[in-house]
Amino acid sequence: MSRFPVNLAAQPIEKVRAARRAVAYAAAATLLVSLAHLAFLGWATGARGVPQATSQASIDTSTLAQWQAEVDRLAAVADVERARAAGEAVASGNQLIAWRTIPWRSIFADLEQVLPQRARLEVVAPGIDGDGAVRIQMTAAATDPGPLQDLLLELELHPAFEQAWPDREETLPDGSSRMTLRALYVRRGEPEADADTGPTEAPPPTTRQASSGIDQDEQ
Amino acid sequence: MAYWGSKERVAIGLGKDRLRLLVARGNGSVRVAHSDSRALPHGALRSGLRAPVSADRQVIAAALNELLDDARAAGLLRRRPDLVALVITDGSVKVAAAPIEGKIPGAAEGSRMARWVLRELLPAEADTARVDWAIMATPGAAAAEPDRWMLSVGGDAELLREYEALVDPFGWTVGRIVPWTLAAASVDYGDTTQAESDSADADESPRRLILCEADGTLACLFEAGGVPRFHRAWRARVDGDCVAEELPSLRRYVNDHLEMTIGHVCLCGTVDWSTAVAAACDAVDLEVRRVKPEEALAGALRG
Repeated sequence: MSRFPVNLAAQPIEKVRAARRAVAYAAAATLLVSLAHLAFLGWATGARGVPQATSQASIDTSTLAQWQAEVDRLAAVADVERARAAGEAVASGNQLIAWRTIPWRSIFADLEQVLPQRARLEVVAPGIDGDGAVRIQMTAAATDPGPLQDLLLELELHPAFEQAWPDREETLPDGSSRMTLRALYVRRGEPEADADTGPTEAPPPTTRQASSGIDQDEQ
Repeated sequence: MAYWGSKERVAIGLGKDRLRLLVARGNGSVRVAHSDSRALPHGALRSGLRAPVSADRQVIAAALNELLDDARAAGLLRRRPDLVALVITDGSVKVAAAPIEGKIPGAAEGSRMARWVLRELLPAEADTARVDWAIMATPGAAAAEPDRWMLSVGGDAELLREYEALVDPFGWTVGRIVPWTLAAASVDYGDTTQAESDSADADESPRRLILCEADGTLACLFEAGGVPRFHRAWRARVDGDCVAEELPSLRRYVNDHLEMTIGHVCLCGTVDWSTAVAAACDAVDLEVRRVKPEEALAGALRG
């Protein structure tokens, strides 16, 4: 140490050394504590009679049974939900299949035959009931009740429709009439043609058409 | 190559007309490994209490570079030195010693006391001055003298920052700044002289007057009981004849105001100056010891 411990430096070497010494002491103390901790851990884990950290845990069998029952209950609830969802999916599929099996083309072809000229159809809603029968709910309108009565009569007379029944009749403010009616549609022998979405084949030529063709050839 | 326990320390002595470099090794004790000096042009460095102290920083930096290059060529300073000490002119600082009674003050209180002691000596405001202090005990003091003194040293902070900035280009940090007289007083002179042994009591500490001219100007420090009691610095160059004129007044001041006698005189300066002043001291029967400027620089590196 200098004989006169005065120093005008901004960072006196004495303070710098003191700071270095403090850091060194702190580091040494930290190292010693770490080493002591490690030594204690080594002694503690190696000592006899001290249970190992990996000792087996004992679980009561009744607790296990309770856990198993809870798991089963949750699994059952999950199965019910799963079955319900499957049923709904099947119903939706059946409905799609039913819609696909409605003979739309035949229905409209037959309706065209029975529809009077002065009546018009506003709603045609076919449906398949539980026994597979096709029931059609229709709403027809006309300027007066006559054509609607004719429509109901034609439906009763047509072989493709049975059980034609008027549900409701009403007269609109403009004087026109509207009738809501139901009928059972009887399938005819062409479900494949209706079900097939592809182009239908042309009907075979009649004898008259064939003969006229021969006539043309002869001409 | 530096090794553990032998760290390199650098002392840079700043004088009005000369720049000195000393490289030492050791960790505690100081062993001089290299010393050199370069002359500075007149006016490159001024001695005063206010900044700036360097009229031409480039000249000082170039001289310092040359000195460091020579040291590196000698295989030194390959690494950052452990301590960089600046020994500055005495005219840049003020030194005062005041007796202290009661308990030793704490850091804050001691700083306030040191600033109060130096308040009329330093031209700088109290908050712009850089001050350091130390409590020095004099166990061998006479019963009438106080046994504890507060040694206060202060200087203008701007001026001291300017000194410290001289080593900024090297990436160094100044760890110690002391004036030349305190550095010279740190040199171990050995036992007291025979005259002191004859004239003083057995338990009385040596009383010596240090005259230092290493920085190109004259400065004196009277030390008694290991405590600097009187410090003065001259701004102009004082040759041997002038010192001969100043010595009687200095001796009278020590006798009258401090009520002490000068045991011996230590001279720290060039050989020619020391020879001339030694003759003047012989004329008034004052024993002389000589200290080389390099020894004073090494004294600044102690501790």
